[in-house]
Amino acid sequence: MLPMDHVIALSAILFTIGVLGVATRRNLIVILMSIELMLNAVNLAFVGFNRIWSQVDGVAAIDGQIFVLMVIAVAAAEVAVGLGILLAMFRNRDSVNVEEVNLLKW
Amino acid sequence: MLAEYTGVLVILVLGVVVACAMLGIHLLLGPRRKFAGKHEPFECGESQIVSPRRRYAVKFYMVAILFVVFDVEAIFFYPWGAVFQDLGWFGFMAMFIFTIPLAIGLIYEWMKGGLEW
Amino acid sequence: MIPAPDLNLSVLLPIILVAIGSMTILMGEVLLSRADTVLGREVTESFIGTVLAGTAIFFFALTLWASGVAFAGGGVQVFNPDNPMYQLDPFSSFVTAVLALSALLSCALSITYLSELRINHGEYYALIMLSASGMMLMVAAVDLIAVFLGLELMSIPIYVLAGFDRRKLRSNESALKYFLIGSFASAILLYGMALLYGVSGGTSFEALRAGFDADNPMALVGLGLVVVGFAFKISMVPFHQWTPDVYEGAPSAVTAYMSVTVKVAAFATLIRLLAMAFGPLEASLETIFWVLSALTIVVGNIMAIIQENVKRMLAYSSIAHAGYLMIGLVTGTIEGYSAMIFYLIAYTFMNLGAFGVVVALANRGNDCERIASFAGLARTRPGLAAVMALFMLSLAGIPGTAGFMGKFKIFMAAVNSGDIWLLIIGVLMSVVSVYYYLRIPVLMYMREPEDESHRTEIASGEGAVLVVCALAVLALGLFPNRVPTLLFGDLDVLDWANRSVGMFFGG
Repeated sequence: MLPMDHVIALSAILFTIGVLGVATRRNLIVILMSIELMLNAVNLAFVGFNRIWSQVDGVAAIDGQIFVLMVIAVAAAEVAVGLGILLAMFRNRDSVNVEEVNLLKW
Repeated sequence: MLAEYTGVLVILVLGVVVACAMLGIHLLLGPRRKFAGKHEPFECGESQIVSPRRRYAVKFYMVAILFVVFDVEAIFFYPWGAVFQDLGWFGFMAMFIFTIPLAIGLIYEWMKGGLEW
Repeated sequence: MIPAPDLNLSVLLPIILVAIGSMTILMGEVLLSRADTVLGREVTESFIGTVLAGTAIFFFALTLWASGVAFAGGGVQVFNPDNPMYQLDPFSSFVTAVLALSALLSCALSITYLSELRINHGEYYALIMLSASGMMLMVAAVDLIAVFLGLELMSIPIYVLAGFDRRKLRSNESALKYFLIGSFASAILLYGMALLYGVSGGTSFEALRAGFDADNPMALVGLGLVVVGFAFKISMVPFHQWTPDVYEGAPSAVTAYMSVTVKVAAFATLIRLLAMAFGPLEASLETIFWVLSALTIVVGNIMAIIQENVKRMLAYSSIAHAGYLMIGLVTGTIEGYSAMIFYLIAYTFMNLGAFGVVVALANRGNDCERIASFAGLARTRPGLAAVMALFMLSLAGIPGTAGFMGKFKIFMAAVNSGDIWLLIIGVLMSVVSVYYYLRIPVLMYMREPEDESHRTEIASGEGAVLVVCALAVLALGLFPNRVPTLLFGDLDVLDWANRSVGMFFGG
């Protein structure tokens, strides 16, 4: 079995890549993908931690895995709304570049 | 400690080797001739009639978005299905209640014409 | 066979009412827009809007009643005793009542505004109810899973609401920015939750409290990330940059709703999280809160001075108010928390009122949002000018208004826990804030009217909301512990606030 430190380290690395993606990329779709990467890093961390805590007080515990299901479902809803907003914007402006989103001062 | 990763390493190495081998064999053995047809986007088959960069109809995205939501909500049915018999009527009723909002969402998008093509 | 848990369905009543309301509205919208006549009346767009808004108000009133009854009954009830996630106790029922009231007022405020902007779609009310149900779930959550679900259920409909005027680019941009920042923040919050779970092995507040170890860096990082996630929601400096843009671009009625309710819900959840899951604050965390609170107060007030747009100005002012509210978190005492709750109620009425005036001035698809366009309003719209002046005085914290009483309570809590410097910063910056708040009354009363583009008559819904807010601001300012009402006798809001947070201190 893999040591859990590695799983957690991998999730931390993925999360960092996601944060950097949000911070540096200019295409809105790519930013959305980076946020999804962050959420998946979170899922990995939850599943990894659940392996450590698979027994709490001698009873099988799956809190982490339940949390992952919730995160996946919510992430889908979030992406659907995000793409809807992008679509509404694209109809008005014909661009998905974040630097052209400048009517309001950042 | 890293011994557990041997499998990953083998797959990585194999992948690199196979990819390099395919490209290398092609370079060594393949004949090289240049003519106009080589620059077509689709070298064989139909000649192209519209720009490939043309935009898709927004409906594709609409359907994709609607699909994502309903598809992923099905995630909650899997754990339920796994212990369906153990949960009994309580689980059945809970899941039934869970489907009501989903059904309302479906009815809404149907009546609003979200599923019209 | 797994035994069925012993569920306590009545505990869920407030949230179920709101959820059923939202689905009713969704279905009602679809059915009404297909009908030609209902009960002999022709179905027009404004008719649909009024009916659906009425439905929303009805369900919010029921929720207000249900949570009020729960608060009066006192005691702690859990939905599922085997695995507590949703807990109806004095704190959550009181905050739920506040949320239901402010959502109700927002719905009444929106009816005419939506038809002015020609975005009179019934989904608006369904989205408001959905996000309200998320807030109610979040403030009553005693488990990280429920906190996360509530937070997302609150945020996702508000992303849509911010972009509700979908033909306007500014509204699109507002929604997009809120969505990007919001989902980024919730990813950060989630990672914090994952780390906390890794430390304690459970997601319930009880398990977190048992497993939290201040010497473990992972626990501290996790707590920090969770706080950062909430900091985005309550627009704490340095996570505040989205606020003015989003508030400016969103339709004014939506801004009114989200500036108030999101803040109430997020602060209430923070209080519960810090009080129930982390006990007395870590000294290091208290210092961080101290610095952030001071920064938030200073930056919010300074930036508000240079704004030329009312909605941007109110956005920076809401940042400043978040700073004052954080003083309560720094103290961590029962006095500080109850002052926060009282302040949140005062803030609800005065901010909703101030945005309500902006809403009531919107005309033919355009918001009346330049500060300069308030010039001479006292001559053309004397009633509106009077209530706007009252809300500005209250936001500035002039004695006799709810804003003053809230600030007074918060500052007293700071003094009693020894934070003299925070008190000094707060008072100094309140003096600064008088400058930009009073600009509007000065313009309204001392200048000639120049911009006549605003609406000239007020709708009954807007008028009712403004009157309620104005009366509440005056009553809370003059008699905070015995608001006289004709129907229900005297209301003791301060005592309610004390009772609601008292449960965290064994009261």
